[in-house]
Amino acid sequence: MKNTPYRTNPNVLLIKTYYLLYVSSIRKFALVGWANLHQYKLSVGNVGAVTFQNAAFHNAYNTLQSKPSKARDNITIMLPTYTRRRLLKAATLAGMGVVLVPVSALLPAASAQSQPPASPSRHTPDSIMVNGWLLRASDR
Amino acid sequence: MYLPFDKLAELGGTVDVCIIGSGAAGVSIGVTLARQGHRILMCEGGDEVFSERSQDSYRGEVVGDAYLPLEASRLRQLGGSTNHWGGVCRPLDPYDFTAKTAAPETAWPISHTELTPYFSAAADLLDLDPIPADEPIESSALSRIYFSLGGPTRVQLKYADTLSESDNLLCCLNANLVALETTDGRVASATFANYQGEQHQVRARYFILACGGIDNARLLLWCNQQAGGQLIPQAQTLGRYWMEHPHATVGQALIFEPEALGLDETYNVFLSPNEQALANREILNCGLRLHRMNPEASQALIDELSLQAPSLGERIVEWQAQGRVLHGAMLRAAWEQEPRFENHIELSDELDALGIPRSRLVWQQSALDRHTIRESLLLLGEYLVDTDIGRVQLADWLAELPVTLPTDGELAGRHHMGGTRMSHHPEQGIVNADCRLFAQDNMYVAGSSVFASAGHANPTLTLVQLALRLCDHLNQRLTQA
Ligand SMILES: Cc1cc2nc3c(=O)[nH]c(=O)nc-3n(C[C@H](O)[C@H](O)[C@H](O)COP(=O)(O)OP(=O)(O)OC[C@H]3O[C@@H](n4cnc5c(N)ncnc54)[C@H](O)[C@@H]3O)c2cc1C
Repeated sequence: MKNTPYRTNPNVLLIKTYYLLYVSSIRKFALVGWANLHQYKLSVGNVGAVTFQNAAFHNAYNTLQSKPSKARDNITIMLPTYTRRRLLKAATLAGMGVVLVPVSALLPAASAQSQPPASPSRHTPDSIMVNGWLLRASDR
Repeated sequence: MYLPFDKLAELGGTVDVCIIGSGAAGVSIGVTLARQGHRILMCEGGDEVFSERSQDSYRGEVVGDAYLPLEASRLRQLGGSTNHWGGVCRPLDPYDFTAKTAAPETAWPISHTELTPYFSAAADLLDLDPIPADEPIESSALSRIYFSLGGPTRVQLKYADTLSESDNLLCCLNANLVALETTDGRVASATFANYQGEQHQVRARYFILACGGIDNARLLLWCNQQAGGQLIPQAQTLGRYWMEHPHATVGQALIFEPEALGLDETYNVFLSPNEQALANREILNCGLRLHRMNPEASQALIDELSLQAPSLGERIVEWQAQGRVLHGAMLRAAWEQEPRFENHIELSDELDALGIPRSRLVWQQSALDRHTIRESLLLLGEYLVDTDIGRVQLADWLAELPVTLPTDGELAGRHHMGGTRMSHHPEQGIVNADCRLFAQDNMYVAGSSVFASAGHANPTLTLVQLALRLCDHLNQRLTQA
């Protein structure tokens, strides 16, 4: 894999994850965000999965409740990498009446060449992008 | 000394080096070699001032991404594009010369240490201000970087006396290269034409093509075609790997603690991702520039940010009540374009007044180019968020994926690079590490067309460093012979 551009390397997978928020009180699903073709180099024995971070989730939830749909479309949740078990644990937020359902697609990077590569994992767990502003979740 | 066009025929075999083109590259070489006592002929296609007639030869077609009209992004006259350049200079970074994981084609066949010895002579030639060393910004993946922003040197004016008085430097205006004749791996002569249709052949021991980052490739494509492929037998990369520095306004920022970024009153601050960040994010090089907004624009930005981030808005109101001044900044960027075989100069079907096919530029920014600018801006945004010293807003075209590049505005730097790429191997480039055509013992190319990759820094300092390095090489060959 050395020196092979990631965009053409069939061993490199891209994870595209859509986040559907299920609000049990109103029995509705809503698309609250997506990990825009986050790229992960996956190698055997180190298969990463993607989940959300609590602050980002709260923000997405609040936005869904309070903002017009145009603003909702603009939310991008920035995601750190976690294990699959942790993903499942975090996805069920008992007591809050809501579930965030990640729908992920693994694409070989080579077949996704026409898409521009997007951000790799970030180091700041609680940042979000709203109308182009890169914010702390607590800024909202 | 200026030489009338009809006197070209009388030169016989007296010329050591014939330089074709008198821009930053051509004049640097002409002046330097003439001072060393060599007999130099510099043939310039334009006149002392540019005219519609000479400029017309620069017209061409653009296919692909939006780009500036080819005749508007350079000048065809004595001194070339230094007659309208901005004078902004900075050397390439050592990292720029290396292969990147995301784009191995960025590797040069030489390292930056080959050019370092020519830095101060090039800086003298271009009258540069001192360029301080980069300063890493604490707890960030960014460095503060510096450029020389001094008054742009017009080489035609700076060397006016040498051009009119030096016995060793003959300068012939309105002399357009139209053909190169080659025998046994040497260029025997070059044919020049004026606008009245007269032609003369010139013989010289060495030839240097210095016609700029588009016409170096165009003229070699044409001359090679005329010479039945004898000039450049392995021409698969001729015209290829053409590059620009995309330029754009990429967003805005509100800075809570200007001193943390080293921002002073003038705010002329440049930032760039450090090597580790470039490698980690698999991006190419990028320079970000912050322009301070006036207080009204800053307040408008605060109002907008407060709408999106009410909690932060409340903190800002408190800070302002305490007398703290927050600065709005426009963010501009220039970034490296991936060297790609697909981006190229080719000959179009239309001929100019001299009978040479016009250039067609086929140019498109790649996914990696777009990724580079988005990630670079995110690096700044993340740093400001992490340290809580500001917030960044990405321009609409960058905020949403896929990134759609602007089709108007600045677009690019008018930095024409590549097309006659430097390489170790004739199948991967047009000139070798000495800037010599692989198949010709006595023909060289000068200018940014030989760049293997482009970094983000403006190209003229680097091309003058390369030109002075070529002078050393030729001086050695001329004195040894
Ligand atoms: C508006 C503008 C601003 C710029 N600002 C900056 C900046 O701030 N910093 C920076 O580093 N760079 C800048 N550049 C780029 C810079 O101008 C070029 O990198 C530099 O001038 C290139 O020098 P050159 O000698 O290789 O080519 P040119 O300057 O293009 O010179 C080529 C010469 O060859 C002549 N010629 C062409 N065809 C023929 C022919 N057939 N026969 C004989 N002669 C011929 C031309 O007339 C011309 O004199 C700017 C460019 C523009 C247009």
